[in-house]
Amino acid sequence: MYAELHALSNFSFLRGASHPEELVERARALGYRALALTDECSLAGVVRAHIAAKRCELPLIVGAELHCGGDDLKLVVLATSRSGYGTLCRLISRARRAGAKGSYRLERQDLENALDGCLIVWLPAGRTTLPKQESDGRWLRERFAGRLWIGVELLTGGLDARRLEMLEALGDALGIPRVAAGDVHMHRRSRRALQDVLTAIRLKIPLAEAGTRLHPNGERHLRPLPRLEELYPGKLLEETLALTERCTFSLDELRYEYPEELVPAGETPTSHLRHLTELGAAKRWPGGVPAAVRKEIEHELRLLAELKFEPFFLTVHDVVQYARSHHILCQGRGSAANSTVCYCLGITEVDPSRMSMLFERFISKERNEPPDIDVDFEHERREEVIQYIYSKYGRERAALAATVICYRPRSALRDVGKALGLGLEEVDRLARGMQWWDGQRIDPERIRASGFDPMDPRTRRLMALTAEILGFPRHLSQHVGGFVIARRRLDELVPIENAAMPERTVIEWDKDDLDALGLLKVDVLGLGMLTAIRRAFGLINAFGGTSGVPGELSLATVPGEDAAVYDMICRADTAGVFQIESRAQMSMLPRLRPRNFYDLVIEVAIVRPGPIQGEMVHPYLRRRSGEEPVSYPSKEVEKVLKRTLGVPIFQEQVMQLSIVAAGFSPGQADGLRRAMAAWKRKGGLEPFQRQLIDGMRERGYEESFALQIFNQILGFGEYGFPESHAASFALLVYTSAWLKAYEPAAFCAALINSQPMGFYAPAQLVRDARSHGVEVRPADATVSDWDCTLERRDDGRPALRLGLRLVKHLTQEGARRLLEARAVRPFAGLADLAERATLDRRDLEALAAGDALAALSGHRYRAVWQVSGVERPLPLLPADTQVPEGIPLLRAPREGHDIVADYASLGLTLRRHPLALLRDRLGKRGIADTQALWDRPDGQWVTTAGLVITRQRPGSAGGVTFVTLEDEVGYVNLIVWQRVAEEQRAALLESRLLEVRGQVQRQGDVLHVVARRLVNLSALLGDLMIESRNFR
Amino acid sequence: MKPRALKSATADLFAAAAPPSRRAATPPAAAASPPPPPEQSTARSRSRHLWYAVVFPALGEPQSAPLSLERLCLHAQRFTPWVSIEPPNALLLEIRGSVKLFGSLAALGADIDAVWSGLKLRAQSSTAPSTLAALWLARAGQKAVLEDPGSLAGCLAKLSVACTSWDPGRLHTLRTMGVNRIGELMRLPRAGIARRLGADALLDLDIALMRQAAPRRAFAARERFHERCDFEMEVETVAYLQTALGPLIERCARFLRERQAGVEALELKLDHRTQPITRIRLGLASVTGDPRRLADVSMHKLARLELAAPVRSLELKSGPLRPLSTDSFDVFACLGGAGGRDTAPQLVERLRARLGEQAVYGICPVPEHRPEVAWQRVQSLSAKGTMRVGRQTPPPRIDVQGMPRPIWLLNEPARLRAPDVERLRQSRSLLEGPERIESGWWDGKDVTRDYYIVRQSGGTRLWIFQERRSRRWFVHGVFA
Repeated sequence: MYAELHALSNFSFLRGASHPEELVERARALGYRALALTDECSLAGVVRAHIAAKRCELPLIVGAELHCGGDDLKLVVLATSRSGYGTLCRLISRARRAGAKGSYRLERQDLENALDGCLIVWLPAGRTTLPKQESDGRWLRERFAGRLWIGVELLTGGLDARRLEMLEALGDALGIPRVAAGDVHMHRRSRRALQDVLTAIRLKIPLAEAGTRLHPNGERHLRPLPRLEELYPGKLLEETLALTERCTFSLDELRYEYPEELVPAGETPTSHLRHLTELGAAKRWPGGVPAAVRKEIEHELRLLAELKFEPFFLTVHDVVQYARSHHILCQGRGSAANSTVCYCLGITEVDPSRMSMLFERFISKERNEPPDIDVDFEHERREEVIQYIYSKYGRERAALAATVICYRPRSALRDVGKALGLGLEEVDRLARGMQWWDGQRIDPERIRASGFDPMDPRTRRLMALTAEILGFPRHLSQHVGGFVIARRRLDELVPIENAAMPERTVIEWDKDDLDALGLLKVDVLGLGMLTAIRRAFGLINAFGGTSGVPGELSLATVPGEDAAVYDMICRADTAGVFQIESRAQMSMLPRLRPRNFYDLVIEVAIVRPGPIQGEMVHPYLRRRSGEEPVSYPSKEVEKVLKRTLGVPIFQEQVMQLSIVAAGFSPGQADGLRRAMAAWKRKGGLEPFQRQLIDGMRERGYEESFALQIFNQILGFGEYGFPESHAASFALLVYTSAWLKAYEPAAFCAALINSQPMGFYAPAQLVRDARSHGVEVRPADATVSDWDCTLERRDDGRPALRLGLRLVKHLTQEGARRLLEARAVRPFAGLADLAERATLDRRDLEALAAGDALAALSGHRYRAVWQVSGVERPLPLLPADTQVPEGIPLLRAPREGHDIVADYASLGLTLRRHPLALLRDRLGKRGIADTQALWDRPDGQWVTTAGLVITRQRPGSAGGVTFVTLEDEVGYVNLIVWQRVAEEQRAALLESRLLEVRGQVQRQGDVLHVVARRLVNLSALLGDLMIESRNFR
Repeated sequence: MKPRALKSATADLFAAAAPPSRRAATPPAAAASPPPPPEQSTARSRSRHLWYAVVFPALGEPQSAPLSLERLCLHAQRFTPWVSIEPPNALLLEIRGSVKLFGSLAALGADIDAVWSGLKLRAQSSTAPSTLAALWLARAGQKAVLEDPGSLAGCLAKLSVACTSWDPGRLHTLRTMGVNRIGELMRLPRAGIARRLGADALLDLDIALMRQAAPRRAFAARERFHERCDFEMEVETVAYLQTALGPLIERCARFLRERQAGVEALELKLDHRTQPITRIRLGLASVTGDPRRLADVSMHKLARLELAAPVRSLELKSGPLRPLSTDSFDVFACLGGAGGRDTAPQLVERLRARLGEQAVYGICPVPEHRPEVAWQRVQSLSAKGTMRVGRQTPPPRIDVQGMPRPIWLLNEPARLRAPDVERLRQSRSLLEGPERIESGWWDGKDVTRDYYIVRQSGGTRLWIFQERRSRRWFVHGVFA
C-alpha cells in the first residue's frame, strides 16, 4: 500500500508534465491510498486537484516542494491541519514576495519558527558529502523533530541499491525515519517527451543541447504498485501511510470571513447596513419611500441577515463610497448589484422603478450561492481604487485573484518549435501562420501553408507535442480586478505572490478556484465608457450645462425615457454609444426598435453568443413584431419567460427553467451555472445535458424545446449575460445615447479623450460628429489643450477643438510645457514657442507634422523646414540671436499630401476623405461608392471599395468574418464566409484599402455585401497610414 | 587596359582591403595607395574622369553582399584598376582611361554590362563625370551616359531623393517638408540644408554636382603571404630545402606579426623540372604566427619527405589570415614552452606531421545520457575548443548519479546470445544496475535501455544492457 507524497503538476511551471486532475485520477486508478500535490513553492494547482480528488474520492494531501538557499536543502512539506496549511501558505507567500515575479527566494533562516503543523520530508541531494548531509540532518532534526523524514526516491539511476543503503545509514545515525517517494513529474510515462520539452523550454535551449540536464529516464511518473514493491523495501512504502494518516487537512475546511472594521463600535453588521440603507433611501426618495419599495427593502435585508451577507455589501459600499468621494464614476453589476438595497447604497444607478420584475431573483436562499457584485470604475482611475483597497486592508489581507495564462496554439508552437531546434525564422513563420482567429486547435493545413510538411517526422513530433502542451499553464497573471479581502491574514488562506506590475500582489488562485471553494471576491473593473461619460459631464458642466437639465449633469440627472433618444437608437445612429455601437448590434436595432429601458436591457443581452447560438434572436424578433404568436409550453414556463415573450434570453431564465421545467434542485441549478461558465475551458456539461433533456421530457415538454434550451446553455459559455448585468449596461447605453443625441460635441470630445476604448477610432468618431452638425476645429498649438475641448461658437453652440493628444509622437511632457508657456502670454512666433516651451526637435517636428503650427508658420512644409532648423540656444549667445537664413523655396503641399500627412500624424483628417481623391481611378475600375449600393436590389453583384475600419470574427458567427469599409460617403458592412476568408486570407488580413466583389444582401434597413472576391488596393493609398482595428 | 600583373612578393595589391568610407565629413585624406586620380574641381565640357556605376538590386542581403561584391570587383578589374565597392550593392569604375582601349565609351559600357548579364545578375548601370552622380543615376534605374558636366544638374534634378540612399530619418525629414526630388533640394538655401540635414548631405550634393572632389580607394584583393625562392641549381636534398625555407618562414612570421594575425595552415610548393608540382600542407593545431612553431612543423614535415625529383624552386603560401585570439596566447602561457620544452600544440603538430592529420585527435565528453553520443572527437587543440563542445557546463541541477561508465565503448552494441544471457543471470555476476536510460527521442534515435555491470568468468567487467522494447540483450562496453 502506498501514498505518493511528492508529486509535481504542471503548476510547477515548465517542470511538471501533467495536469493536477490527471495526477489525481491516475493515482486513484493505480490504487494509491492518497496523493500529495507538492508543486514547487506553490499551491496554484491544489484547488483543481481538490475538486478532482473529491470527485473520485481519493484523499488529497496539500503540500509543496521547497528549495531552500538555492539547492542547499530540498524539502517536501505536507500540511497536517488548517493551521499547518496556514503556516505553509505564509512561508510560500514570504518566499514568493521576496523574489521577482514567477520566482521565489527562500533561505535557511526562513525555516526558523515556521511550518508548525506540517510534516517535512527531507530529500538529501545525491552529490553532497556525507558530513554535509549529517550536519543538514541535525539542523533539520533540531527544528522539526518528530515530524521529519528522509525521503527515499529510487528512480533506477543505476546506483539505487547504494543510495538506499546510504540513506538508511544516514537516517539510523541521525535517528530520522525514512519514507518512500517518487519525485513524480507526470502521471504516465508517455509524457516523457513532453517533460523533456518543458525542461528545454525552461532552460531556453534546444533539446539537443540540453544533455544531462534532462531527466535520464521516464521513471518520474506514477508507477504501478507492483513495480514500486519491486523497487522499495515494504517498510518504506508502508511509512507513506503513516504520514498520510497525520495529514487530515482538506481545503473544504477553508472558511472565508469578511472584514470587521467597516462596522462602527456598538453596531452589528445588520444594524449598520440597515442604517446606511435607510440613509440612502431617504436621499433617493425625498418624498418618502413608496410602499412597494419599502416592502422590497425589508425583504432583502431579512434575506441578507439570514445568509450573513451584510459584511460583503458593506465592503462593496465602502469601495463605492471611496470612489464617489473622489469623483470617480462607478456602476455596479452582477446578480446582486441591482437590488433595491444596492440602489439605496449607491452601488447602482439603475432605479428599480424603471424596471418591472427584476429583483425577486437576485439572491435566493435556497440556492445559497454567494452574492455577486462587480463594480465598474472609470478605466483610467481604477488604479486609485485598487490602491485604496490595498492601503485600507494591507497587503496581508487584500490581493487580486490570479489568471492562469495557458499555452495557446501560437505560443505553444513557438516554444515547442524552439525546443525541437527549429530556427528562429522557421518558428516565426509557423507562429505567424497561426492567426488570432484560428482558435484552440492546430490545423495541419496551416502547417502546410507555412511551408512545412505535416508528414515529416520532425513536423509530426512538433504537432503532437504542441497538441499535448496546449492548455498547459504557463504562468500566473493578475485577474482584471477580482479582489479578495479577508478578515484576518489572507496569506494564511492562500499564498500571495508578486504580480508583474509593481505595487500589485496576486493570490495563487483564479476565479474558478475561488468559486469552487465558495470564497468571495469583489470585482473592481475598469470601463472606458464610464471615463468617457464622466468626461462628457465635466465638459458640459464647464460649458454651462445643458438645456433641460437644471444644475449639474450626472448619471442621476440625465433625463430618463426620452423619445428622441430612442428614435436615434432605432435608426441605428449609434456610433460611439456603449455596447450598441458594434455592427451586430447596429444591424439589430432597426429590427428590435427599442422604445423603453427594458427593451435596451433585452437588446444588450440578446446580441450575444448565447441567444444567437440558441437561435433565440429570430423567434424573439418575430414575436415582438407580431409575426408569430406568443405562446408558452406551460404555466410555469410562462412565469419565467413572460417578460421576454416566451423566449429565454437571460442566464437567470435558463436556470429557472431548469428548476421549473426539468426538476433541477436549486443546488443543481447552481452547479449548472458554474458549469456554464467553465465548459469551454474544461468541459463537464454532459451530465447536465442528459438530466435537463430527460427532466423536461418527463414533464411533458417537447424534445426540441429541451434541445433549444441546452443549445443556449452551450452558447452562454463565459459570456453568459445575466439580466442584472444587462440592466447595468443598459443604463450606460441609455446615458451615452442621450449624450450623443443632445451633446454630440461633448460626447465626441470625451470619447476621443478616453481612447483607447470602444469600437471606433477618432477618425470615425469625428466624422460621425461632423455629420451630426458638430463643427470640428483642427489641433492648433496656439489654442488647443492636450485634450479635446469645447469652444463657444458665435451662435452660442459648442464647437469641438481637437486636442494635442491626437498629435502622434508629441510627448505629454512637452505639451505640458507648451501649455504653461502659452498661459503666460501667446506665442509671437515659432522661435518664441520653441524657446519658451523649451521643446526639443522631436516635439516640434511632431507638432509640424500634425499641422498644429499652421497659425505660426504657414503651410505644413514650411513648418517642418522651420522646426527642423531650430537649435538649442547656445549658452554663450544671447537668447534672441537668430542665425540668418535664406527663405526656402518650398511649395505648399497638395491636398493629397496634406491628407496623407494628417492621417500619419493625427490618424484623421478634417479635409476630404482620401477616397474622394481616388474616386476617378476607382470609378475606372468600376467601383461603386457605398451610398450607391443602397440603390441596388437584393442579390445583385456589385464591386465596391473602402478603407478597412474593423475586422471582426465573433466566436458565435460560425467562422464568418465581418469587415466594415469606409469611403467618402459612408460605410458598408461585408460578410466574409469562412471559405472565402481562407482562400483570400492575405487580402482579407493585410488590406488597408480593400476592393470587394460580392452580392448585395438586404433585410429591411440593413445592407450587407456578401464578399466573393477580395483585392488589396492598399498600394493606391501610397503612404496613407491607417491602421484598422481587429476585434475578436 | 589589363589589370596589373600581381607581384609575387608580400602584400598583393594595395595596403588594406577595408571598404572605402564615403561618409567622412571632410574629404578622406588621400592616404590610400596608390593615390586615386584627383577629380577636377571645375567643370569642362569633357571632364578628366568618367565613372561607371553599377547597382545590383538583388544583393540586398547584408551578410552575403560584401563577399559577392568583392568577387564582382575582380570581374570589374578586367576593365580598369580603379574599382571601388559601394556597400551594400554597388560598384564604381573609373573608365576614362579605358575608353580608348575598347574603342568607344558605348562599346566599353556594353562590354561591362555584358559581364553582369553573363553572370545572370540584374544590374543597373549609369556613367557620369562624378562618382555620386553615376551612382544616383544607377540607383534610379536610368541607363544614362553623361559625359558633359554641364548637363549634370539638369539630369540629377529629376531624380527622387531616395536615390541618395541616405538614412531613412533624413529622407523622412525631406519628405515631410515636401522635398521629393533632388531638384527641389538644390533650390533650398545651402546653409539651411547643412543645418537641417548635416554637412555631409551638402557634401554629397556637391560631389554629385562636381563642386567638390571625392577620392575613392581602389579595391584590394585579400591578403596572403606568398613568397618564392628560385634555386640557382636544382636541389636534391631535403636538408638544403630546409635551409632555404628558413628565411621564408621568418619573413612569413614577420608578415603575420605586422598584421597581428596568424594562420591555421601553410602551403609549400616544390617545383620540379620534370615532375608535376609537389604540394605539402603544413597544418597547425591552432591559429599561430609563432616562428618557432611554423619552423617546427615545416621541419618535421620535410624530414619525412622523399623528393620525387630535384627541386627548381620553392614557394611558401599562407592560408587565409586569422586574427590571433587571446587563447592563442593562453596556450603558451599555461602549457609551458619556455625553457626549451615543447608546448602541447607543438607536440600535436609534430605527431600529426608524422602520422597524418586525421590520426591525432582529442576526445571530449558531451553531457548526454545516451552513451553513444556522450563523447566527441575534436581536431582543434585550443583549450577553449575542448570546452566548447558542451556549449555550457551544466549547472548541477539534476543529479547525474549514474553507474560508472567504461572508457572503451564498442562501435556498435554487440548482441548477446540467449545462453550467454542465461549464464550471466544465473551466476552471481551482476555487480550494479539497473541504470535506466530513456532519452533521445527528438533526433529519431530514442533509446530505452536498462544497463548493468556484470563480471565475466575471466574477471573482465562488461557493460551490458537490455533494450526495453525488444527485451534483447547487448554488450556495450568493457571496463579496463
